[in-house]
Amino acid sequence: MKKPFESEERTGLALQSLYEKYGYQPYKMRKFEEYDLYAGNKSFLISENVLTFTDPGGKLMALKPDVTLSVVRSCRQGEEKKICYGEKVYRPGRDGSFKEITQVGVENVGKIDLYAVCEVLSLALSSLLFIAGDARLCISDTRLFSFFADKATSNAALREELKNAFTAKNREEILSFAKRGCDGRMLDRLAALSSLDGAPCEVFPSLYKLSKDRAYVAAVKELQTLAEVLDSPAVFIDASVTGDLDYYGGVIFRGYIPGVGESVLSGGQYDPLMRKMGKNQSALGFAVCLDSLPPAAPAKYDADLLILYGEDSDPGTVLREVKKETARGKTVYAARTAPAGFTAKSVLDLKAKED
Amino acid sequence: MKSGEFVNIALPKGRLGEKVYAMFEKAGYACPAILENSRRLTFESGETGVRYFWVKPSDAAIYVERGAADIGVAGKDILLEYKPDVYELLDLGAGKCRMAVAGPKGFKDDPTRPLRAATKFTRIASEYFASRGRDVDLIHLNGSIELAPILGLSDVIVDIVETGKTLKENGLVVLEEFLPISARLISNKASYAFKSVKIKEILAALYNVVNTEKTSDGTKI
Repeated sequence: MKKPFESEERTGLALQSLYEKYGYQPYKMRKFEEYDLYAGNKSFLISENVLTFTDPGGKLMALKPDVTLSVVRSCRQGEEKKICYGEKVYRPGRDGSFKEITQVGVENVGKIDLYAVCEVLSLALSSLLFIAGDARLCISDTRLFSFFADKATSNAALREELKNAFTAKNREEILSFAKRGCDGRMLDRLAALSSLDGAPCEVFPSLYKLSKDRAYVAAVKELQTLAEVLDSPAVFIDASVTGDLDYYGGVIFRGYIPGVGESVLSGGQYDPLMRKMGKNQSALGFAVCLDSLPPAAPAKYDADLLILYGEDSDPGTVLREVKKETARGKTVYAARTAPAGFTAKSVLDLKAKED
Repeated sequence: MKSGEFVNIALPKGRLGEKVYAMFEKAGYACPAILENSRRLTFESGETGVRYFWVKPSDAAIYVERGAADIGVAGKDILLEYKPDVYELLDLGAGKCRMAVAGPKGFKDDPTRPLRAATKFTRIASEYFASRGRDVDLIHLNGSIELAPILGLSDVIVDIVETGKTLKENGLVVLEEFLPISARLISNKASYAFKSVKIKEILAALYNVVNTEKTSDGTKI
């Protein structure tokens, strides 16, 4: 079902209100972070470019490109919390110039069990369906790629290149790593794995066939449980979804809506990031980039009612009239003359009434 | 067929596009109107559920990355230069050429100073020279790259070489080939999620065409 898009602001507020119903506490970033926080975790960020400035104390500060790093930093060791946020972040757009992007999301930090993952995925799915009425939530687990890639090569740089070919579903390039010393049998499995996507019932039989190893089967089983619990035609299993493995480990997902060529939602479990920042909890979350949504359908009129008043009109009378109409649910624009090009469903000319 | 159910396909204008369209035709996705001499830009085949449009070869990846086209055909050179966030589903084997460093006949590199290289492909060139540990001064040009060493603007060029005829006519020779190039079938990630059945059908049919051509060429599969 296709539904008209709401404005960025309304969508953001509605999504945050949904997250709060599940016990996610609103989180607000009121301070600037030091640049070092982002510089030390560049590959976690969507872009390595960060807008910086020097504060009066001479410290190099940054306009936040991301919220998760701040959330992780603010967590005390062992602390458990569920938070949601709506923040502006600053990242370069496709043309390279910096953009202010509205992002809403959730983070669940603490003991992450299968229910916690189901809950976050369910919120991700609800977010997509709220935005567009139809969606695809493409889910995988980083352990699937890692399982075969670690066996294919012990060279971390090669594994990274291999991952790029894997996420692009580039079968030929994956297989070409045999020439660079990677294990051909594992490359065959990775090539097969990267092309496994579709409705859960179609994908799982093929996923199980790739290995009988206990750790691999356990990861696939977890993924299957998630798909079964979510039980939605919008859920897709796509084994080619991965992330930066220095930061992500476990479930990982991307969300798409019709008519938008890029993912509008992304998330996953990021225990390795927690370790990197010295925290012993598990954590997962997702973010929805509201700026990638198509613009809301323009209203037919600028206001439901245009109230025109005269030079000598009594301000109290005009205000009473405006309040009366807004109380009826109308949008009202009151002025002495209508701005150029202004359209209203109806006009109330108080000046004419007074005359 | 409703418009939303069509698979939109961006084909590169020109000789490569025609060759690639012939592969789609062989794969069962014909749209005869596309071969008519007309000013139309889009061509639909309700029967097969595809809509083709011709785009500038360097733009095909942009159409696909942004989702204006669901799938498309782009050269590996463009994919490596712009790194669009798309799926690269199949090497179509068409439009084969090589990315190469070329320079005047008898050119001798002076390792004591940065090598001046003119190119349209600054990212590819920069990554190549970085992998060789060679300090380089890259000069971005949009065309007539061969002119740069002739006029002393650069020492060498980094460009696509197909037959080497243009280089020869300008007194240049290939110094090193470092990247094989061919046309690739690419897909928008969101489109792939929404139209996966249809896109996979097209992919499988094209895969068969590519492999049949390889076999008839005598190429080992």
